[in-house]
Amino acid sequence: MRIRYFLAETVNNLRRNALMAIAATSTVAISLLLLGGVQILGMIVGNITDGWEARIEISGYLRSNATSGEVRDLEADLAQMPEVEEVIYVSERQALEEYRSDFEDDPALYEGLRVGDLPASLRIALTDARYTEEVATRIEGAPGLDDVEFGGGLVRRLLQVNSLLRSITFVLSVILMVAAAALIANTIRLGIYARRDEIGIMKLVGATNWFIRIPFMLEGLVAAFAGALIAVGIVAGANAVLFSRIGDAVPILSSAFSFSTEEMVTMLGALIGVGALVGLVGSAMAMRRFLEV
Amino acid sequence: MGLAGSGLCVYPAEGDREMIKAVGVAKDYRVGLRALNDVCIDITKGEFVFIVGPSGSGKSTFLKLITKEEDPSAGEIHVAGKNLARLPRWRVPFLRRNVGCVFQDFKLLPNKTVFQNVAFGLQVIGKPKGVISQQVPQILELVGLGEKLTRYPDELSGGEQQRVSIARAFVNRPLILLADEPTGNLDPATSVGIMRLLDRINRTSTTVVMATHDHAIVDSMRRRVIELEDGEVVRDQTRGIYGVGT
Repeated sequence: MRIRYFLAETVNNLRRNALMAIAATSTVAISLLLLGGVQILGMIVGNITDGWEARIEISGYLRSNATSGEVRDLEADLAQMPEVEEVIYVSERQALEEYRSDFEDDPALYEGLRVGDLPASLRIALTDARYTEEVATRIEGAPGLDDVEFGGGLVRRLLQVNSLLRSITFVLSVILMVAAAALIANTIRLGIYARRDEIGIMKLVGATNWFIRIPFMLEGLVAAFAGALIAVGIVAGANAVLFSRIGDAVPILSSAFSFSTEEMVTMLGALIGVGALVGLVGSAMAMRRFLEV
Repeated sequence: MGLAGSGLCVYPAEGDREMIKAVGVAKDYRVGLRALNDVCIDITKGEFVFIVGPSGSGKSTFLKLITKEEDPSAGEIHVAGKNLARLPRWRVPFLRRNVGCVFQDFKLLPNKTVFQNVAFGLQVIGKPKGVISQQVPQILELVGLGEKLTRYPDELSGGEQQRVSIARAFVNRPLILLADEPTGNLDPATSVGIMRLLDRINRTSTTVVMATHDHAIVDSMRRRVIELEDGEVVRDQTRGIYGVGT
């Protein structure tokens, strides 16, 4: 009977305040959508860099006058390092052949090249991309070695851009969520104002403060929860419909846009949790100065 | 701190018949604005008491102290044997369930019927539906509105609206009924009807405290009269009239 009363009052409040409730609900939805977008962006970048990191290797270019002894010592040193997975010797001839096959369609690029124009090198595969810089500096300047190159710069820059983007969007979505909480608080306050006579009588006849509060708090929670459901629906829908199509249309992106069900569910659950939190905070804001007598 | 001039008060021994006791009560709304000053009043169970005096003499403030809508600046208020200063805030609603209130402006909800207005008072203190559907028609019968359960307040006369308000205040059978100028908006003939109703409620051994400046009513009822002037008790008569020479 009490639960029915609370639910009926909550529905009444929402109906009376429909416009404010819609504003609050959509603000929650937008802020959570933004938050969800940030998470997805992070997941995409994670997927991309995962693939790249696996392919990162160090190229140690050898001097043309390097002795075979120097090369053997270097190979032995590298083989001892725990971070090194594999060392492959690429001769001047092999280098030229690889170059030719890379630019097969454009003979002008390799026509004048002869064996010896491209240096021989050691190709070093690592157990983890994290050690790239460390290993590269360690072998730099070794006898017989001319130059050390690695592709880590691009990965690092991508991760930096990603984290900057995430910080900006995160701050933005936090601001939006504060706005959402304030809107929810305002919705509730309007409801309280519209029903001040009833509340006055409730206090007069001895209704407890919680009895008076609960319908209003439920109102805030329902508004926030509805917003969270909208955001989750859009994200899940995009995942089901849009992302798989992107993968089909642009095969190179298919691994970037494929997310495990587990990480998707965790993320959507977190969005709902944050939405409920926003609703609670908004309600608490509205109740703080309310019902003191 | 201390009680303002409490030495002037003389009290009977405390007993369980004591319903409202004010001991050296003062109330300042702001510095320099004293609504009550050194008020000592004892009201026993089943009494009918008029609080009289001009506007601003402190009548309403005294009633607000009884429901703990206001706290005294000095002194103590006891209701049904409980010191209100020691009543925690969360217990205040339960105090109010024992103190019915009636006002000059009725305070009815315009979008609810007579039945719903009275039922609302029980609903919000968590009374079950069965109790409500039994007690509400009963009390409305008692106040003489048994035929008008489905009317809305704006379809009723002032006197009828006040009866609904009394029904709401009394449906929970409180120990005390406070009435703040209940006849203030009513013509003399209608007022007589309201006073008969309050008298009837009083005879169920409910303590009734009524603030008024309606001379005719006070003079005709011949009940205890406490007169306030500038926040002080200037007269307390067992079978009084409104005032000498007024």
